Amino acid sequence: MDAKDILGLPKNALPSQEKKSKPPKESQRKPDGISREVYALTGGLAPLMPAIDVNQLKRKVQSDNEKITWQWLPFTNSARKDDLQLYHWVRVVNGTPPTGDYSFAKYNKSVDVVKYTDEEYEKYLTDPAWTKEETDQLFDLCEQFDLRFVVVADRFPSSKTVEELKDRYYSGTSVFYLVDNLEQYNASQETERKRALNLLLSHTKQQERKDVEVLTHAKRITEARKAIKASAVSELPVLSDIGPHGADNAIITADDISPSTNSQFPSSTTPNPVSETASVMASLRTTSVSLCAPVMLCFWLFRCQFLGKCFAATINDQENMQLRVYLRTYALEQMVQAASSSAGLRTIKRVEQTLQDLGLVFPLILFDRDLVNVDFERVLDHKFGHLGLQGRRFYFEWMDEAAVRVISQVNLKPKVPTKAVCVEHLELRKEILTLLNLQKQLQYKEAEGSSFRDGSYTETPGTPPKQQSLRAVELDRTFTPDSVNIGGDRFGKREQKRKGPGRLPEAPSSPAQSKRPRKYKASD
Amino acid sequence: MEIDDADNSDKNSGSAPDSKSKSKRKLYVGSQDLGFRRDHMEVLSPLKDGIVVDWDMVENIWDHALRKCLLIDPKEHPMLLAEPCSNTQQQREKTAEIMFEKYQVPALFLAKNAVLTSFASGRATSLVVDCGGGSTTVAPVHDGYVLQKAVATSPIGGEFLTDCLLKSLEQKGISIKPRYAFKRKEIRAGEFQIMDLDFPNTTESYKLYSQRVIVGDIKECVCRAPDTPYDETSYSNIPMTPYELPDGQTIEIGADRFKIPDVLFNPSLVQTIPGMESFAEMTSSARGLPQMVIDSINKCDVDIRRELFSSILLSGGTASMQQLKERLEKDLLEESPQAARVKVLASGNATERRFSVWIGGSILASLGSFQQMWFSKSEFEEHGASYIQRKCP
Repeated sequence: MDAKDILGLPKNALPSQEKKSKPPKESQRKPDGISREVYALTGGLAPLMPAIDVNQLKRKVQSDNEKITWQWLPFTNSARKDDLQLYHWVRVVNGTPPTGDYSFAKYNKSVDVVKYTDEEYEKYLTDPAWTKEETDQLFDLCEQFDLRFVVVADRFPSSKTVEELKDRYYSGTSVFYLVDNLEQYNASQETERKRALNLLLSHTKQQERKDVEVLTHAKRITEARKAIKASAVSELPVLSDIGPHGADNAIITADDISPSTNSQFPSSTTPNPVSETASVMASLRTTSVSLCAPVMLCFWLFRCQFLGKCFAATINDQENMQLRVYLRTYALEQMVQAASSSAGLRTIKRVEQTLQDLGLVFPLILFDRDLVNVDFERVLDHKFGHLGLQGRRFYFEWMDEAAVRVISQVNLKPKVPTKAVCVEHLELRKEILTLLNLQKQLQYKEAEGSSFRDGSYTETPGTPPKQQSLRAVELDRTFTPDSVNIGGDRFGKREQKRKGPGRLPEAPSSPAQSKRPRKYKASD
Repeated sequence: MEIDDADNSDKNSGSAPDSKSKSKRKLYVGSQDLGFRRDHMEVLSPLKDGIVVDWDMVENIWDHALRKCLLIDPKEHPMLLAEPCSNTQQQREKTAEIMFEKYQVPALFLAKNAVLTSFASGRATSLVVDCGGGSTTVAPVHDGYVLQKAVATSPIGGEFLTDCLLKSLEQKGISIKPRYAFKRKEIRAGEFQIMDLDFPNTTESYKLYSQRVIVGDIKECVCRAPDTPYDETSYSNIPMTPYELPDGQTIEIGADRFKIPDVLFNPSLVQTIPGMESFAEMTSSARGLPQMVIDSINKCDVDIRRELFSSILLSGGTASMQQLKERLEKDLLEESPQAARVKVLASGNATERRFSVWIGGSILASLGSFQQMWFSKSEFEEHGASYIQRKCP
């Protein structure tokens, strides 16, 4: 501006110059509608001449022997049940209108919903939770809406969930079909899956941000520690040292809970929590029936995530170098896996199966304050009431310890230090392992004893096929120690494949068993 | 082939001015008639809270639309009517009766507004946010059906915002002269003189209506949805925007530019507008737009929530307000779970946004697979009007 003043140029020249510069610029802008890269293929400029010569385009064949007119004609539609006549434009060739049904009638597909009479309902379909009117309404709506269960649930007068409706429909339908449905609808699994998905989606941004922050913080700390303690050998029984290894190991996704998880641990690093969430979401959305144990574990993972409490790391804790950052989602699982990595894969599965059979999905109880007052006694009674007195006593003795620990932990204030609880859990797992091993050894002894008696078996009970037949033999007999029988059942169920048996020849053997003190007197 | 008749609650073309006394009233329908001032003419609406209360007026409106505007004979054309999501069974049956018995249409179909908007954007599943004149409705559509239990409505609509602005301007001392109340005479080139005209027999409702037209125009030109929630202090020093009223007066609008649209997001702001205290009760229970969206989605089944979050459609006249889409998206991103990807969609054209229901209806009616779904006259005669519940879910 000042230069212009000095030079004496008029100020008005500026706007006109701006106008002049605009038109040439306009043509260089890329046109909207196509991407920049595509536009660049043409050389960056719009073509001045059309690239395609119009004469080159094929002309639609219009033979002279045909006379084509368009007429406004009525038509009927076989997809309709009445005889409504609507009108539309029709291309008429040589005066003869086209014949045949309305071309869109073939798209009228509908679902074959089962229709039952009243007697059939009485015979097959009665259910305590459903009245006949509700069931009739349900099937009617399913037909009307072509099995769109979300819409059916919306229009259903009483508020039943989508899972309940689906369950009723599929179980009702499968009664009438003799073919056994390979994929039965599993209502409880669906409910669980949806509940987990719901909780995941209601996870607010605040919590997620906090989680991310804590995770990155933890990662930084563990990296620092790793550098300090380069070659720290962690011994298994001293569980507190597992912490540093545990916290920075891989985050498990639901898909990965399988025997192969063991091998993944030492190498992988913490992936992005968002991607973990995404893969978890993907797994949640599938409704395929999966192994119970991983599914349960997966739900436990989510539950922990939602209770969402992370305890801050005490970095300056010199006595106990354990990292106390426990996103409960990850740390316990890693510790468990690390602790049991020396045992065989099968053993781990057995341990988890035991945990499950005992009706205590531990982490749920540990972290769910609602279940503080669960009557373990009642649970165990229900599960193992069919055993003889001896067997029950054995189980109660063994379980008492574990139950006491759980009860004592649960009765504490909610601010339970995660470490202690996790430690207890790990000890329980160890004890289960011990139990299983003891049972195995007991079996061997029995087998040996029986082999001496029969005189037919000369080999030590270590070869696979003999083992299996031995067990089959055991099953037939009635042993007084019922516990061994149960153990045999369990082994028989699962011993299909025999990889390298991972038996721990652990020190505590049968003498230890009897020496176990009675902490909690169960009513025998 | 088929003709659609969008029976939306668009009062501009549908209001029926009424003259004379109650016993023998003559109804004038249409914007042309509305624009002409008559003595003792009242502006009435057949709808109250979105529900039809005066069927006589509705029939007049339809007569006007079919015979005077479209120039057709209803006997030859199937009718597709758009209805609000919360329409009652009684209203639908009455509609069917009038259509079949009075107009003798060969076939009828009643479609929900939200479904048609969804089809207009090519989707079968979406969450439709309809910011209309009379109310705002948030309705999830799944596979072409509205999920009734999750529909949310709020009485705050475009007309309510217009009223807020009108009251606010009046409090500042600006009087809005209705168009009929003055005459402009050109004294010299470019200069006009205003002469007030007096029409003592003009009804209050007509005067209010005329003022609303002017203030509505101000709102559409000047108002913008603020990027952050409105508060008095941060917007106190905003530069004023001038607007010239029809009578030549130039007014300056400052903070109201942002305050009025923010009422959609924060209804409790109404209490700070002087003159609107009577509505304080209504707005205390109303929720803001982002909250309505989240509540509506959370009432749906868990499996479809992600899909709903990623296809939120805006429609209605008020949705053409500047920056509304961006502000809604921003608010939703904050409150929604991270696992869901939030995407708010709206057609670029303001006219398309306003008439998306009609566009969807025209798409639906011209589909080949739709022709089997009409509710025909013979079915009406055989099963009665209540059969419409079955045929038009």
